[in-house]
Amino acid sequence: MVEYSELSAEAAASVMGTGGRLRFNWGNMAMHYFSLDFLERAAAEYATGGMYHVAKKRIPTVDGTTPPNARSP
Amino acid sequence: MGDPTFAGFCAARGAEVGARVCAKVSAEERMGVFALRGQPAAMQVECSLSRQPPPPLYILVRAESTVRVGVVQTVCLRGGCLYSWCRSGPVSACWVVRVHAQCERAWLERCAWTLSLGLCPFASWCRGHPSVGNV
Repeated sequence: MVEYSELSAEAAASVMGTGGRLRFNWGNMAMHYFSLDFLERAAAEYATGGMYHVAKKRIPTVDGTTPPNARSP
Repeated sequence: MGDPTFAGFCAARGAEVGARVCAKVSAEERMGVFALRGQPAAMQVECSLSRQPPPPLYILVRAESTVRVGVVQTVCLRGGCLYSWCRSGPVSACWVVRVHAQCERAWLERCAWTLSLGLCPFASWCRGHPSVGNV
């Protein structure tokens, strides 16, 4: 997964070939499928290390402000 | 939200991991995308469309608050699979409606119950929509 906040404007607008399709075209709609075997393997691997993927996004809050350190998407 | 067609598709392929995706409306759309780590950008998942792409599968799905007609394509990736569909335009709310006659037969048979128009919550609307056609 590459968050939209991690893609530069140039990369996001990059197209493939002459067809004009976006190079990074397929968006995550947060609908996933995992087998139990996969999850058990992944859990074992991440129990001994691994990387968190922190996504910093500008998200409105209840008082209408955004965190000052939020990166502009 | 669960999608029985997506789950059935993954199960029928023996997938370990699957992700349903949709095409971005524009480059600026705020939506994360899938890519292969450490690969050139051209190796984004859509490039792993199998050498012999299956015929298109026309389907209507509910995608968050926006519902679109799409052409489903299968993407096989290292033994798993991704189930993707291409946006061709926003339409009204509907679940699975129409399946192209030539799409993968074995998968269709296993998932036939989800593809029955009778199970579609908006069946009457689907029947009347010009993009749906006959089921």
